[in-house]
This record gives sequence, structure tokens and C-alpha cells, in this order.
Amino acid sequence: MDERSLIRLSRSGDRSAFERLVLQKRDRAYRIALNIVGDEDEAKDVAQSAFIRLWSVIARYDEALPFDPWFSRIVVNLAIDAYRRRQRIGAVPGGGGDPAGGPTGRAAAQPDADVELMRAELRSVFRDVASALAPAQRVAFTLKEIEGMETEEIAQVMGVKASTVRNHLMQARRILRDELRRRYPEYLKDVTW
Amino acid sequence: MGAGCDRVRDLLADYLEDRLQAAERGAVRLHLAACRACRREAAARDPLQILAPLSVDELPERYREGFWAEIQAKLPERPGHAIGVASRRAQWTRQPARTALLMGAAAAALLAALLVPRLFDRRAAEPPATIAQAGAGIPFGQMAMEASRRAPQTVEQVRTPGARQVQVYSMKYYLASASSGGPARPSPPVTELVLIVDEGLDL
Repeated sequence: MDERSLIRLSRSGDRSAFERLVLQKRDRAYRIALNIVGDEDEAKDVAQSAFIRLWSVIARYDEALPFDPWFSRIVVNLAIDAYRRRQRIGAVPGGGGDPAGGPTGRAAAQPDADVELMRAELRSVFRDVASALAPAQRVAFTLKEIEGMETEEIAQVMGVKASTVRNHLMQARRILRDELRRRYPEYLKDVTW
Repeated sequence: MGAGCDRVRDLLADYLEDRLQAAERGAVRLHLAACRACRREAAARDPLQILAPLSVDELPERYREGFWAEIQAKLPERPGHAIGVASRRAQWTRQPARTALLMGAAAAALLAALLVPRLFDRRAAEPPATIAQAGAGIPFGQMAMEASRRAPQTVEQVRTPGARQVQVYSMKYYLASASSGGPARPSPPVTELVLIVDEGLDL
């Protein structure tokens, strides 16, 4: 069943259809949340909250507009709230590591362990360098470079002009490049993964 | 390298300068996420390309089993019902002058009704059925609370945290809307008046 049909059925209260919609969008929602919040547990909670919120507001969705940017806005807003809460309590987005996904964690026991180890290490690197970004820069970079959204879509999600998004992206890229060169020069010398 | 890699290599310069159309850009991004060799070449031009694999991250296995069940347990029965209470503030609308005048008069009357009796009689009495009866001599805080219970459509008492002697009242005005075949029903609140009354005020 296509996305449009799942949305229409969900609006009418069809939980089975909504479950399928959740499964379709689950990974993307989690990924956006993870790259903004910087913590896997928190990202999972944010993703779940976004779907609960979606159920409550899905009646307001205008079918003439693409669904992903509209839903992404819900995820981003909740992720930003979570990120700011963590900042207030002093939780470092890149600190604490990733117990289950870190290089010495459960990932090593899974199939394709080397791939998963690489990904886990990469997530840790990104959490570390991205901690230098302001929230708006994190959002813009996540949506553009990781999720591949168009600049105009990102502007809708963030509620700003496209020029503002471009500015955020320019700043984010510059900061991340500098941080990578400064903190992880060995990764840039020889990309082994 | 396969045919995909050759194509990506041709597109790489345009990709890094964000000159590709959405579909091609997506395809290159996913290829870089999966292909170490191409990613290495891209990272040589732009170090940020080492982050490409983040584009295909999925919800970790340990979260998947209970993900939907936990969501389902918290869903309201039907979609479209906002969780929690929306802002209690009414929408401010343009008010005809007559209505504004009536509001002012009502506010003054309420203030008088709440403050004056307190000077003379603090004994508990029959709770007022309407705001007009608020001057019956009930102790200040209880009176307002009882009033709000009996007249929930007109006055709500909002207790200011930590300020026992300050009472905040929110008075909402409704316009009766005609309902065909049934009794007139109040519209959503068209305006709101907030009164902050110092209980310790010595007149």
C-alpha cells in the first residue's frame, strides 16, 4: 500500500495502517533524531514521540504537500527540544559514548560486525565534531547532507528562508571540516572505511 | 569498481558542488554510503564525505521489537485529538465597542463583588451559583473557587504558585451561537480578561 493510502487510512483511525506508516518512516525519524540529539536512547524516544504526535495531528496534514518535510518538522522540533534539555543538564551530545554500538559494544557480535563497527565509530566521530555546531546548523546539516533533502524543503521544515538554510549549511560545513582536521586528522589521511 | 562507480566518479564534482538534480544526488549519496573506494575518493576532495554512511543508519535492532508497541500504548483512541490541553488563552478578536464596554463594566463589578464583602464578613456561606452572587460573604479564596465550580463557563480560578495571597482570575466571554433545533450553545471564547487580585489588599 502506498504512503498516501496509509495516511488516509491512518486519519480515519486505522491503527494497522498507521503501524505500517510507522515502519516505513521509522528509520528516517530515528536517524534525524540521532544526528541532532547525539544519543541513541534519546533518539529512539524522540522518534516514538514524533509518531505519537503524528497520530494526533495527522488530520491537519495537507495532502497536496509532500509528507516527508511535514513530518520531518515534527521530528526536528522534538529533537531540538531534547537536545536543549541535554544541554541544560550538562549532557554532552558526544560524551558517554554509545554502549551498545560502540567499538567494544554489542555490535561486535553481529553479522557484518566490521561494517557495524565502522558505522558505530563514525557515529561517535560525528557526535564529537557536531558538538561544535549550533542547533540550527546541526539541523540544516543533518537534513541536507545526511537525509539529502532539498534546501527549500529544509527551509520549510525549519521555518526560515532558503538563504538562511544555505548560510547555516556553509557555517556547519566549515566548522565540521575544521573539527575533523583538528580532532581526527588520521581519518582524513587514509579513509579506511 | 563497477559501472556504478564509474558513473559516480563522473558525477562527483557536480555532487560536491550541489549541482545535481535530486534523484541523481540521492543515488550518489547512497552509493558513497556503501562504497568505500568512492567514498575515499570523495573524501580526498571534501573530508565531510567520510560521513556518508550516516545516510543509511537504521533503528538499532535492540529497539525494533518494542518500538511500535510502546507507541501504540500511548496513542489516543482516535487520531486528530491533540495530546494535552491546548493553550487556555482564547483568541483575541476585534471586539465591538459595545462588547468592550460591557467587559469593562463586568470586570469592575467582579472586582467590587470580590473585594468589598471581604471587609465585612469572612464567614462561609452558601456557595454562589453565579458570579453575581459572589458578594455573599464567603472567604475570599474559597468564594472564588466555589464560584468557578458552579460557573465553570464564566470564571476560572488560576492559583498563582507560591503567592498565596494573590489570586488570578480568568474571565472568558462567550457569544451565544444559534443552534438550529436546539438550545443556544456558547461559541469558543472570543476574548479573555485576566484579573490579578491581591488578597492582602487593605482597603
